Amino acid sequence: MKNDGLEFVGVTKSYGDQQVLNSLHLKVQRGEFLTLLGPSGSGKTTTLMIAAGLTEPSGGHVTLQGRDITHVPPHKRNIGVVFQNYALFPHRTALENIAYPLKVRGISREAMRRQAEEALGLVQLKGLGGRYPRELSGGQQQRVALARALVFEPSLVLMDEPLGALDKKLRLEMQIEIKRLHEELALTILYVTHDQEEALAMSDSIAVMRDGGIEQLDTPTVIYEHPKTEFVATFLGDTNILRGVVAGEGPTAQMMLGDGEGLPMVGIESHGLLKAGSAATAAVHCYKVLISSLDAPTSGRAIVVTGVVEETIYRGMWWLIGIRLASGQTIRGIRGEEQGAVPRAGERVVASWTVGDMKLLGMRD
Amino acid sequence: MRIGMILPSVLLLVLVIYIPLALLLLRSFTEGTDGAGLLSNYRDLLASEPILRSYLTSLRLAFATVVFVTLLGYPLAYWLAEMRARFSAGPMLLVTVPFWTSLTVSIFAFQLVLGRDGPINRFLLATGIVEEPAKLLFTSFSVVVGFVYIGLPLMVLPLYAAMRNIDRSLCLAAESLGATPSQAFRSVFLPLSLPGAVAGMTLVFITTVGYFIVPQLLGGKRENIKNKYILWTVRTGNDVPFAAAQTLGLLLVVVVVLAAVDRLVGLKRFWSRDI
Repeated sequence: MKNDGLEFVGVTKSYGDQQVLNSLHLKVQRGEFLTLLGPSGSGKTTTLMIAAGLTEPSGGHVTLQGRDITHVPPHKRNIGVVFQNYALFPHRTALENIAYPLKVRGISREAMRRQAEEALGLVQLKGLGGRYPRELSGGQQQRVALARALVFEPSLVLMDEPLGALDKKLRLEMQIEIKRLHEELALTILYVTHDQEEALAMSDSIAVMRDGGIEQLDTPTVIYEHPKTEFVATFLGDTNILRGVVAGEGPTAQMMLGDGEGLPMVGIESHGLLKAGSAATAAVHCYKVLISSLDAPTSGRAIVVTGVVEETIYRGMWWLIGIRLASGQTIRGIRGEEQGAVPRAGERVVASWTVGDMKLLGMRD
Repeated sequence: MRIGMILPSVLLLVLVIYIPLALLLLRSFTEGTDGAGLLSNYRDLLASEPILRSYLTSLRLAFATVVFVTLLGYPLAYWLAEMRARFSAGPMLLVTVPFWTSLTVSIFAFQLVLGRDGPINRFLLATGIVEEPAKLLFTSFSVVVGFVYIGLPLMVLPLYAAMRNIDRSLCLAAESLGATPSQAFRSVFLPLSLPGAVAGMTLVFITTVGYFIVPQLLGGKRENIKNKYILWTVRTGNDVPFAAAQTLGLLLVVVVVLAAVDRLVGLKRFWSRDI
């Protein structure tokens, strides 16, 4: 399939002997909302800056709508960028800020005014066009930055942690707002964040980045439910990682966490990793692990381990309970409010989950 | 606001500057030609062509200095501001040399450099640009050279501070929005650096319009700036009230010029800006 969006082909970037991007391949289809998710230093902002033309790659090619733009200067790319600090021009009003890209394109004064006003309405700031950035709240500044990056109908919109400086409530509001604009205007968006919730809520696809490369690229549900590596599983948070050694084969296969503490492996997605004696890493989401008292039934959940409560965290809908297993490994699970008294630290409890909720991860490290 | 903390400096200013100045200016009204009224000194002032011309000379030299200092100082400040902070300390020290060297020594150095047998004239002769030594010293040129030397740090320091405060991502944002690098500079960097430039220009103007030693030692007869006349009035005529009238005149000229600048570019708007 021909790519009419953005494509990175083997793009590398290094500063001195420090490699920031390691032969990156990435495709953003037209109309797609793709998020680069990763910790700081994983190369996501560098990727964005290379797409914008504000950083020169050390190698590889970047194409946009089939055109090689690797060496095209930023002002000829027609790409809208929303910066982390908004980068609004402090000496221009909100409307003048929004009109700026039109002004440098030599559009007539009248058309400029009309389009800028239109964009102002699009981000729901009608009537505030005459204010200077310092007279606007953080959320309003964010909207102006958004309107400015959209007003010239760019072929691609880049957003570098645009919601990082906002408080949680405003962040959720803007997430919905950006999502709405994405759909209404059929925008192609490359978005950068280190916030997993933001990435899950907004994206069509998520590329989890690590050390200048893409660890896994897929839809939010696949990334969340079926992380390919331990890094992806832990970065998305709330995931238990268990390590052990495979014992036995076929229907009797077990993953031994420690002496006498084995998890049955029957029916697990194994990808051929299940060989007796090999080390195994398994992941299971906290929300799939049920913590219950020793005598409670665990019917339907094939994996059952016992442990000692170490911590209890109230999360509103449920309690998140961390327990230490006999092998010394820890695991977190949930306990619904309807299940009676919350176990206290030091108490012995049972953690149980189904085989289907546990994933065997690739052997890294 | 702790009044007590600013009291010593206010007291010093009032006792040493404001009261003596007020007394002096008062004399310009009370002690004039007998029976000619309060404004007699000012009438004399407006009637004297050489005195009026000396005002113009002061303004002309100060304006020329502001122009040259701005043209030289802007690129210099830009270069310093673009540098990493830890590397700019050295060049910055060089820029501020005029602040911590004896002015008299520097000015005598200028006399040597610009003189008939100075290195500049020798170079001009050697390269055949001129056939006789050019008269550089004791001209408006040499005065402006001296002024520029003094004024450059006054321009570069506020300008550098203003430029350092400009968020560099603004220029990148402008380019990503479709502006060429030179468009981005003109529409974003330049206007944001203007407050610093105006502050520098004001400082340079105020300093040079009232400077005495430089025109005295580097200027000729034509560089009769206002202050020379004031001193001359005191020394030869011992006419302190008339000198005081001339002083107030200069003060008024400076205030008028600053007010005009304020109107044109809005100094207050720049200075009260919270960016």
